[in-house]
Amino acid sequence: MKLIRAEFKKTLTEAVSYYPDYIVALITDLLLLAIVINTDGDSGQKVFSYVLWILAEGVLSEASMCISTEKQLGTLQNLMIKPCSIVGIITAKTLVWFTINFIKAIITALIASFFIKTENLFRIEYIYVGILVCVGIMGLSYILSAITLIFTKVASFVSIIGYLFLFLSGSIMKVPDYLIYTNPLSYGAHYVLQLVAGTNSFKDFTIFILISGSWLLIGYLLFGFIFKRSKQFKWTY
Amino acid sequence: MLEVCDIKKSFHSKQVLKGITFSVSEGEIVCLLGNNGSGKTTTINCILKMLKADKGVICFDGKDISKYNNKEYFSKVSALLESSVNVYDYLTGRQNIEYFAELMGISAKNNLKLEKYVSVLEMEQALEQQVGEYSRGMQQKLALIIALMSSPKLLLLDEPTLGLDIKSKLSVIHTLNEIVKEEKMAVILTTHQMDVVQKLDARILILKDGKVSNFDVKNYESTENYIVSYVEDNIVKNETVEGMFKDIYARYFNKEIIEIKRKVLEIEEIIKEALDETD
Repeated sequence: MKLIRAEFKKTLTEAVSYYPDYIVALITDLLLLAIVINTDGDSGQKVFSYVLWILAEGVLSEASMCISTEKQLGTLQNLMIKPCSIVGIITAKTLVWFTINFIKAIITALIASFFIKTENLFRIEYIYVGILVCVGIMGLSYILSAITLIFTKVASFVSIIGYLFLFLSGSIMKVPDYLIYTNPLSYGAHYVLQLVAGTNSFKDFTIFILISGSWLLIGYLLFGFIFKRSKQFKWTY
Repeated sequence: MLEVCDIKKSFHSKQVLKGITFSVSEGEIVCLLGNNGSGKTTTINCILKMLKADKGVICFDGKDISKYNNKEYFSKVSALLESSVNVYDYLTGRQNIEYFAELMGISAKNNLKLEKYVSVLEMEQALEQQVGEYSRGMQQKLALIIALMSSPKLLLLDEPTLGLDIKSKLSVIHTLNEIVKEEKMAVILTTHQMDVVQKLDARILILKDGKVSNFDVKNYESTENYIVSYVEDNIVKNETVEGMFKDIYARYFNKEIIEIKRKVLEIEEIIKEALDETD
């Protein structure tokens, strides 16, 4: 908890210092929202998929970006020798960014509600869907963070993976059926459709938990493996 | 407290550490000296668990350091690394202290030790300023305060006095000598500044050719170095000569010798000589 509080305070101060970056990111998201609204299909469902993507993309990329920034600033080495685990630091950073992106997602949804007429844009069930998607994506975030610990430049490619997930969210185009069960974001968007239609079952929820849980577990285990291997050779801070 | 036993480490085909062994007791300062590329940083990184040695064991308080988790180990071991930026420039000095205090699980408020270090290193006025406005020396002092504030049992300092003015350098040396005595802290320090080595109550270890050896100034004081002063062509000449007194006397016997005196080496020269010996 102390770790999250410390990261939160630091990130807020950082946000004040580098506020133009955050304004640019919000404007980019709004421009993408305009594209999403104007593509064919159910606007409500697409906007929710897009909001889900904003949350997932934050979880996916921010930990890796933070590690890359800390490496480039030269502060990472100092963090590694503090009495907290590196997984703890990455999780704390991700949680902080999840909170910031949650606010961003709410703003995006509110703005979208002015342009589209849908009854299902705000539902309480969306919260656990969002959390389950982010828990699964966290697994991939661990892997990317571990690779970034060794190869700093990996963070530059994370945004590509992020935009790949935009397609997998179904907000730009319909996700092919065979891809729905492969990742938490596609399944989350699919689950929301069932939720809105009232056809969701316990089995669907179990599948959702299994997909997200397996992504998290695989990511966590791979992180441990990569991180352990990285101690064999010289680090490039 | 810390025992480094037969540590070997290679990067690709280059063997940097060829089996180094040394120990550090509580209340002791060990100064690790070596030329650039001699493996000082690799040794420190192995002790800090950032690198895994190919062979050998490092024990802290009698337990293999690989058996400790980060929380357990780094609540007792702290470090100030020269290769790392140890503070955030967009935070103020106080915010940096508070951030790291939370990471270390200690309180920065009403922390008497922290206040003492801030006062000794004359950083009270600077704490409310953004670190981005600090000089290199001030950043170094802040990083040192952060490294010390958790009262570690073992402190690793990589070039702690780099960029410090004379007054600050003396404060750091004085603080280190004092806390080692008072708190029985063990300190491993690397530096290239010989005046720091001279002023610290430290045991010196020389790291050379991937091996570490204890350095005893007395061994080098016995080196037979003499300065021979003599007159030649009405000019006084001084020559530094190595060898036994009787041999030197015999060699200069035909010259108009004024004096042959034993050359007393400064510690800087002695250490330099030790480092260059087989290079």
